[in-house]
Amino acid sequence: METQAFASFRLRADVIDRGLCPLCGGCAAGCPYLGAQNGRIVQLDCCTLPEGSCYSNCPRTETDLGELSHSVFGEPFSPDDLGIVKGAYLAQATAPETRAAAGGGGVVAALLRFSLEHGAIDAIPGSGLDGEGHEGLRSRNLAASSRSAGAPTPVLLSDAASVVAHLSAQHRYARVLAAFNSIPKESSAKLGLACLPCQVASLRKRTGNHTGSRVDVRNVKILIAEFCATKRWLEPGEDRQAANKACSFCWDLTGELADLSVGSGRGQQDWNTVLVRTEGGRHAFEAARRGGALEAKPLPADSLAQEKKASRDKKRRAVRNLTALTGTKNDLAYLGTCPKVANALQGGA
Amino acid sequence: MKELSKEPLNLIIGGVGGQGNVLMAQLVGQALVQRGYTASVGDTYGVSQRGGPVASHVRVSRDRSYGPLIPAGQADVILTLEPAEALRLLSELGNPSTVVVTNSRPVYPPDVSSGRATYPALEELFGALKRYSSRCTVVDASAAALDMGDPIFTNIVMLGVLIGADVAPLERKDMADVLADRFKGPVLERNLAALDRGIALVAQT
Amino acid sequence: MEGIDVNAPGTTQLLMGNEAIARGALEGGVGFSSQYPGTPSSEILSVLAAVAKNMRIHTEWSVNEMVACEAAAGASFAGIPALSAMKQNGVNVCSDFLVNLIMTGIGTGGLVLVTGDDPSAISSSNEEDSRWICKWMDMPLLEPSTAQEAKDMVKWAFEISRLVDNPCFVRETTRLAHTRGKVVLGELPSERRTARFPDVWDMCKPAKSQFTSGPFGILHHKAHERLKRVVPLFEASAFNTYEGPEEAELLVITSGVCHLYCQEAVAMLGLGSRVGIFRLGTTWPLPEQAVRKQLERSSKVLFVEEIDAFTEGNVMEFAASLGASLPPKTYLGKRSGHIPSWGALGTDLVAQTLGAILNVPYKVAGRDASYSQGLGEAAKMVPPRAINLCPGCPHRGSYWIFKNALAIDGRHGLVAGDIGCYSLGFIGAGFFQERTMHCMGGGVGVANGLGNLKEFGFDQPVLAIAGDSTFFHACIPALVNGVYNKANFIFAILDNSATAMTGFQPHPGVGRAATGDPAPRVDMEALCRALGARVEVCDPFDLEDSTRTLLDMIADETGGARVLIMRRVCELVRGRRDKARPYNMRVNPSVCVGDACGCNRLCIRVFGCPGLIWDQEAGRAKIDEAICTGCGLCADICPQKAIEREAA
Repeated sequence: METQAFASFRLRADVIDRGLCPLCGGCAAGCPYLGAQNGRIVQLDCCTLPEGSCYSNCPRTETDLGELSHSVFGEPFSPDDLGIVKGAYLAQATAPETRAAAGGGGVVAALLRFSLEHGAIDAIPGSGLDGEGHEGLRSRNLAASSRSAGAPTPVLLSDAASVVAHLSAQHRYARVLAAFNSIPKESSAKLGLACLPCQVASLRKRTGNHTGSRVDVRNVKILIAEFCATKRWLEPGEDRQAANKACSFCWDLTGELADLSVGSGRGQQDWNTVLVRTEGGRHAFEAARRGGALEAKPLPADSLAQEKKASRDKKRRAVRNLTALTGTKNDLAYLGTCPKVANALQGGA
Repeated sequence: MKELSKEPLNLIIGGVGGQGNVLMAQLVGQALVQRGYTASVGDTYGVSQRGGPVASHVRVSRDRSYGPLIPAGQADVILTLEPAEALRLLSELGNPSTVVVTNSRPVYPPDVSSGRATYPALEELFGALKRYSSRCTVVDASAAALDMGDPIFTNIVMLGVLIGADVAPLERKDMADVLADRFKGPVLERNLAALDRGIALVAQT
Repeated sequence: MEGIDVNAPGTTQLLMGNEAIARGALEGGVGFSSQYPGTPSSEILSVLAAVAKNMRIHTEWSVNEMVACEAAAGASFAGIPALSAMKQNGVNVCSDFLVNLIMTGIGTGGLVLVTGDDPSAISSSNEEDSRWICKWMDMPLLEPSTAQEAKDMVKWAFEISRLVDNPCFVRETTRLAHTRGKVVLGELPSERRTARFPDVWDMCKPAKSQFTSGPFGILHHKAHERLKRVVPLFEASAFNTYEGPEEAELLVITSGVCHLYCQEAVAMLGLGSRVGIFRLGTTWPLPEQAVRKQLERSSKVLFVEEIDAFTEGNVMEFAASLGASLPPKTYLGKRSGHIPSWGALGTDLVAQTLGAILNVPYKVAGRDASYSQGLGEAAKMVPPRAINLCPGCPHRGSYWIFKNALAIDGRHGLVAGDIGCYSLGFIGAGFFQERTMHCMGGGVGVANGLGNLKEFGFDQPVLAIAGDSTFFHACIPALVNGVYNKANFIFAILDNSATAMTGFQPHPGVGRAATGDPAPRVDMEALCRALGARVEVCDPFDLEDSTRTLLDMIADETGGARVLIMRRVCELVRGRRDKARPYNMRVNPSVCVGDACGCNRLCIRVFGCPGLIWDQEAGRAKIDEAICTGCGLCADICPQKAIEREAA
């Protein structure tokens, strides 16, 4: 049988072998035929299926930004440098120990902890510390057995006391999607999570679960993106150069499809830049402020300008690298050939 | 059948490797010899035991020795622990006068479970067995064995079915004697109970 | 039930060929029997071991056929009649010893070697006719056709062996070994021999021992001459039989179980007045006068034998040597294509061939065209039934670990395989992981080659595998080689505490002798460590830990060969030992969503344990409670954890 007929082989050809894979984990943990080792997605066997969520969930296969934007925001894809932003702030966790643990403002940890404590969410898919177990997760996937010494595990946090430690770890986003993929499919637990922009895209590409084979992505009530500095945490054995190269095809510095995006405070130690994007994001953010978990002030204009430039530069670099990859000016590989999107990414010319 | 009805009488005991085929054939052979007949029992061993088709050819005569394998089309009785194997053996070795006695519970081969092949609907399978034999008796020996607490008794239950179906010159006492040679105490009791279950199963059909 | 050691001459027992051979050995006065298990010969030693204490004889499972044969020869040197049985491959293993043994002779005990060939390789990795070794090495060869003859011939073989001062071969095939027939018992010997090695150093008249080879050329000549001593016995033997007309249209020359096929085929076609059957029981050396007498009956000869054209060639060679003094004949057989030169024969095949030669159409009795056609169509609904590893087999876990570890490694690694239950790794049962398979010890041997090709750019991980019994049989020298020559491979020993495929015979690592008595346990790990290899031990049912350990070992290319012992007892052995099952298994019907899962039936289609089946009606996986042994492993492979295990 022609191997291109299988979704997993197309994933390999279109994404992994082309050097586009950012190791977001959206494909691996949900599927018993895929694993990860030393910074590579590996195929353990062939499912022989022509379609699969490995391919459709991948942020580096066909991604229609216009459609996603409509689905998340009800608006077209924004040509603004930072995407759709309803509020821009400098914020910090009020508790100094949270800031100390997280380094910087500690906003992600404080916000999710608050939301968990107050029942806005029931659990947080995350990355385990020191070989932690899989309590609450059901999928037994051999990606776990491929894990090298020192690598994190998928976990589901439901205990507020453990939130700060987990969300402060360097590898905190590495297993988030693996954890999400492993949640029992019948679970109706409300989820909140923080991850990288590519992982946000993977989640947003999933629609509500029709077949009952996976947990419903609509269970995610708070989706936070961390600005991605490209110098992301490396898997043991992963090659820095290859990782950076893969990330150079990414357009999304700030996680434009999330409910909220959080970055470092740009010289403002102890503070985070926070971009509120959706009503759900605003609701969670304001609740945490009112509840005393967060303190926030408007983002200064020069900080905002710096963030915009950084994001703009990344978009332009992505367009350059993608057109070089495809060899065609208007073909942005996984971002498609729609001129509107291309224009939007290049600053709405 | 009190006496040998044909010379030789060709009996096949078939099933899937691991079901206890060989022990059954050995007990049948022994019982026949103890009744004064000449019998030869030819088994398939070794790799087939790992889930492949297995068959023991039993050739019964008043006084002559026959070759180990029943020639094509000359099986008088086909007794199987698995229904698809009955049809496989019937196609190789049966004729319109053949009597078929089979356990009804399928053992699914890897090709079927994986979706590469299909197992026939049981009605279709039993229908073919009936159509191409002179008499076909189907019993759920596996259910009887499971009811006794262990599927391992399926083959002894089928020995009872062999007696009950009267397809060989053997009576209950003959089988009970060979079981008593081999087993003792509570184990013997269980095996005798399985034998009687098999005899009863035929009475119910 | 009476044992084969019963002292009741004239009584009858229903014995399989192998049991009859064992009885024949007892009647022949055997005192020493050594063997390595091999289908179809394995039962011979088992049966002797069961009566060894009562008969006060020595029986043992030797570590391999070469040692078994050497040990038996040693007993014969010391005046004790000895027997060693093996399958066809065992003959190959012994061959270097035998070719030297015929130079020295066997002393006064008597040495009978039984070889069990497996036509159609029903339970073998190759198909082979072992009779050639007798022509090659000047050893007499007998071929029984029934269990009765097997007993009688083995008994006689001890005398023949002493007469020619060389081993005497008795050759059986699967259909004789495992067919039960009536056997009338003979007498058991009453005298007991004393063992003594006769040819020790005489300081007064120092001389070379008869048991040392040399001068070599002359000894070879002597071996030829010694064989001739048996010719008069073979010429007169009642095991060479003729039935049929004085003059026949067709003379069939046959041996072994093919004799029975020929008899039945002739009867079925009613050709008793036209076809004569000459059965050779003393196959080598050819009793030429007896053969010539039969050849004169007919101008057309058909050879019916398994597997090669052995007798066919020998008779034709003899006939050619007679030149014009023998009227010309038509010889039919494997050379002419009338009989296949491979595979097992059968009554139907012989009947078809006779029918074609004599123009008597052979129809399958009792079937007319419409029955055959209808039944043939109906039989298409019967699915193919491939062999599989047993439910609960630890090798399924091992191969799952190999498959995943090699895939994770990503450099297209391979498994170099060997002989045993785990040979099933070459098909779906073991996920097609086994990429080479030859003989005992072949895997680790081949790995030595693949492991020293770095200069040529070779970078594929190599896993050699073998079972615990195979390890002791053949692998130790190759492992030493791997350490000494720094070959880059991992030797995975699949230790299930049994020689499983052949019937769970014990071996040096198990701690039990052939008689059932406790025996010293050779410590496999200590042995491998003593060789200087890195050794790890893991449980093939602990998928995570074992995969990780294996990946770690693949990455560790510092030394040469390293050893990973995958240890878990064979499920069939465990089941008999423990009776109770470890777990009750079930597929949770509310968690398994069948084809909607997206795993495409991973548990059934890929993992493939026969205890897991597809519930057509419900559209999901299910445990087959009549097959499942409750090992619990499948619970660890379902991506939804829909398979549940509960301690029983």
